[in-house]
Amino acid sequence: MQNAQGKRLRLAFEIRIYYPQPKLAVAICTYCSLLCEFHPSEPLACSLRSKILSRDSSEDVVPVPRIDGHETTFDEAISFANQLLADRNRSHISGAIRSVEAARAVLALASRVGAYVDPTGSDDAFKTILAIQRQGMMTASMSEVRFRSDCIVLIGDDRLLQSFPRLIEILLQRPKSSPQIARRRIIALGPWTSEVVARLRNAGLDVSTIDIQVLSIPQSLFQWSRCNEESMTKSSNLVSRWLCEARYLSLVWSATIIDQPQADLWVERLFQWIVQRNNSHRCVGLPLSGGYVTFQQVCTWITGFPGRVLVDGDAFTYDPYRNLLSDQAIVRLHIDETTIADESAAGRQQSTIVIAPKLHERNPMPRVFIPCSVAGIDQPATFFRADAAVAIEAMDCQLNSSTKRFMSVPAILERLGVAKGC
Amino acid sequence: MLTRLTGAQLCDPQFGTPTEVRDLYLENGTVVATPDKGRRVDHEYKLDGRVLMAGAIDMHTHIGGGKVNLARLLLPERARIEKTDESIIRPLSSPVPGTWETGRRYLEMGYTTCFEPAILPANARHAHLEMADIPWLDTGGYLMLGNEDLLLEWISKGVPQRQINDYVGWMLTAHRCLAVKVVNAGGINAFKFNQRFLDVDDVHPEYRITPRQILCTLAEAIDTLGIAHPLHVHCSNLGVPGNIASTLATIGAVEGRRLHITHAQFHCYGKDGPHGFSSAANQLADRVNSSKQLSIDVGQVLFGQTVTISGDTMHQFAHRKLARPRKTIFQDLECQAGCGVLPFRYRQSQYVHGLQWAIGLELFLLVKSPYQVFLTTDHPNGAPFTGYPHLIRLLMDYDFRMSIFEQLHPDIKATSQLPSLRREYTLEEIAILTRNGPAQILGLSTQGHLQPGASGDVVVYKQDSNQESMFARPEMVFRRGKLIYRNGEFLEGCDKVSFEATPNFDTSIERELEKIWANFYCQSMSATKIGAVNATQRY
Repeated sequence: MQNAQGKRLRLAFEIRIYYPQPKLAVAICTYCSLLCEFHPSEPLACSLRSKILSRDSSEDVVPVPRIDGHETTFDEAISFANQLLADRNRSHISGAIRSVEAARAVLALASRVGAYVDPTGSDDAFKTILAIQRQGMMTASMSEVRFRSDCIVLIGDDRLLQSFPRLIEILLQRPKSSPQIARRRIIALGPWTSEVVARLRNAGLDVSTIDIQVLSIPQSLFQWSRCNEESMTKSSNLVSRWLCEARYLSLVWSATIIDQPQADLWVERLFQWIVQRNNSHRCVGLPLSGGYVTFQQVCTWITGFPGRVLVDGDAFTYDPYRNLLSDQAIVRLHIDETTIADESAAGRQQSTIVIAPKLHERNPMPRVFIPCSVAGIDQPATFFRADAAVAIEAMDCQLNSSTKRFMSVPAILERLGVAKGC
Repeated sequence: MLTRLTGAQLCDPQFGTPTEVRDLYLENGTVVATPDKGRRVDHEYKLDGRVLMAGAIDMHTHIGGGKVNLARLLLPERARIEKTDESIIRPLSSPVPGTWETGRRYLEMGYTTCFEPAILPANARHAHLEMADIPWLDTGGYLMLGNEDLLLEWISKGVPQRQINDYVGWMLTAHRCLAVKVVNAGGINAFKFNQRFLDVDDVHPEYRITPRQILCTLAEAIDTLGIAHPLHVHCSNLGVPGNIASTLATIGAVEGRRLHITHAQFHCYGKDGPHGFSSAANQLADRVNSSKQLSIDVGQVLFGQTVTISGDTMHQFAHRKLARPRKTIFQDLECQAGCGVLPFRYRQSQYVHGLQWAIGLELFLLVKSPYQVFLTTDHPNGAPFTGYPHLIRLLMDYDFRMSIFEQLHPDIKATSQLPSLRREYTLEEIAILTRNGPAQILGLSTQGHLQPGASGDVVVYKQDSNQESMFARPEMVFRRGKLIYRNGEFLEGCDKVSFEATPNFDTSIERELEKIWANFYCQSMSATKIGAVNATQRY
């Protein structure tokens, strides 16, 4: 943004990060973006949570501040990181940025030092984002699907329930009192295994399965709904009949299960079918987003773009296809504010500065390592739910965390970039 | 620290004060009375030839929340850096810019307070977080009610009015909002049941109640709770030719209670004329003029590219083929409402768009009291908010108005009475339209005026015969008594607040809601309630 004289406008304001102080009667798990609530005295039955809590941490490097692998103090690590940021023209910020507070702090830092911001998870998120930006979408939020849908189509494979293990309890099971839905049909569309289908049925769900390649689902939907209503009700094609009978049809999927190239075209085709269906019936999609959704929301409202954005002062350049990424003269700043970030993530491999709750032995040692606390576990933080419609202040009450003594990611980031700041 | 602004014309008509040269004193963030002689003045600004007004208030602008963010997501290609030109107000980088740009551009025009008019309850936290990231501007929101399955079920079961009153009070408090808005009462919900049309006396397909019942029930709740702002209503049949009938029926539905019709321009269309689309502005204006209980904001259309953002999924979906560029977003949301995002281009040469432009101006000029009509474009639906200085000039300058009218589609002359409306708004009326009026109707006692006790939000304009230039570029803006903007340069940040209502109601309603909450919503009540709005980011 420039003023009339063509001078880049500096940020004339200071961005201060505040932390939520929720008065919650329940604890909220933030290990996936369903944000399940549970009573602190009762363990949450979730395979993903159990897996994380039972994770072997014996290979973790003791989290202390380090410069070039050597232990140092926190202040020295911050000072050295600031020196690195000041020495280079541009930074590249990546990592698992999962809370509203951290997202704000990242964008404030990027504004100070000039940075390309592309957090972990954008590959999956952009499969949907690019489709929306070309075509638009027609969706519903989770409560809407749970309350109203008499036919839910689960698109994908077992990975959908691996990513969102409590989808059955949160979304698929009807509310206790739902007079509007006499019966709910679940259609599992894709190469689902019999084990997962059995699990769905054991949960009391009326499940029908159609074994079909995920790649061909959008085209198949167009074919199944091509018949007119009269022929569909008489059709021996069960799917056609189910689609016709549904009062409020919901299609549920996650971009993580779409493996093919140009997955955004797959999503776009699916949205086309949904909008066309609404010419005569009610039909919605529910794409479930992973942890990237929070950063996507914050980045969009501050910069106008959902990520992959070059930030310099208050000038923003959108780069959805990563054409502006450069290896030259940049500082790679990797930030993880969870303990479940992918340990093999490429962003870690050449990082200059790493801010994370832990370092694994397999990760290459960065120039600077600064340990941090975990959002939503060591201190309350704000997260967006998987449908991007609801923001929740979350705090997990059950865990004894070894990272509680560290500063949070936002607090650390507030101290960075000050040498280069405006 | 005592600050004196001297030599300027003070335009502060609220208490009948004439516009005249007077000193204004600021201390500790507020306007103070003339101090005793001998009191030392720490800062003095000599402002001869200038006009002082209070900070402007935009009482209906889509600046925060889920659907606003969806509009940004949908339109990244609109974000181009435009070459600047001192002589015109430069366009926004996008019809829906990011929060930093929103705050900067509003402040540049002298606006210090803005209100998001359509906050979905489940999305309220998001909306407040987003508005906190708008620098310099005080903010607040209106809560969308009238389409929740929970409320419609209660109305259909005939629960007592006091239970509805308590529910409305609880919802306002839990979601930290200032007022209540209804969008297409019952219609957003009816669309979820595949109903494509719902007029004021049509029956909802599932709950078997009418929008009239919903409107009357909510208007009664607002009055009983003593909420300052009337029920803020987006009427049925948005944008439909002949919808003036629905609008007048909506007014009748509240049975004489206070009512605010929002973006009224989109709701006063007739079906006459050469294209089956005509102006019914005089009908609505007559009703407003005849009742002090009624008010409207116009929702003026200005020509150019924008994007329409509305909770009215039913009518946004019905208009989807008009989208330019051709992409749209629709959502059903949390058993509470919905939204539709539709990019749109208003073309000066097009009959309907030209008539919409004329109808908005007719409303401004036909409604007699500037305390009953408010200046909005329903940003971005009618136009981006950067069009306000241009709109002010249209209201103040008949010849300028006509110079544009003459360029419109020739059939508009047969259906619009605009040429006969020679009224020109005065500076005082503009001040009421953009300051005193919004503050009064929202119940903001310390905003919108420059009397002692007012917040020290002061705007200094250089007098100019071209009103667009005058209002596009104030010379100085004070926030909380501190100079933060001068001659195109932002000097520093300031604290900001979020305005909210604090109604009295029976808090035992929470126990009633807890019994049924999980039937409708995935998230618990305790996770949904907002503890405090941290709007005091230092910007």
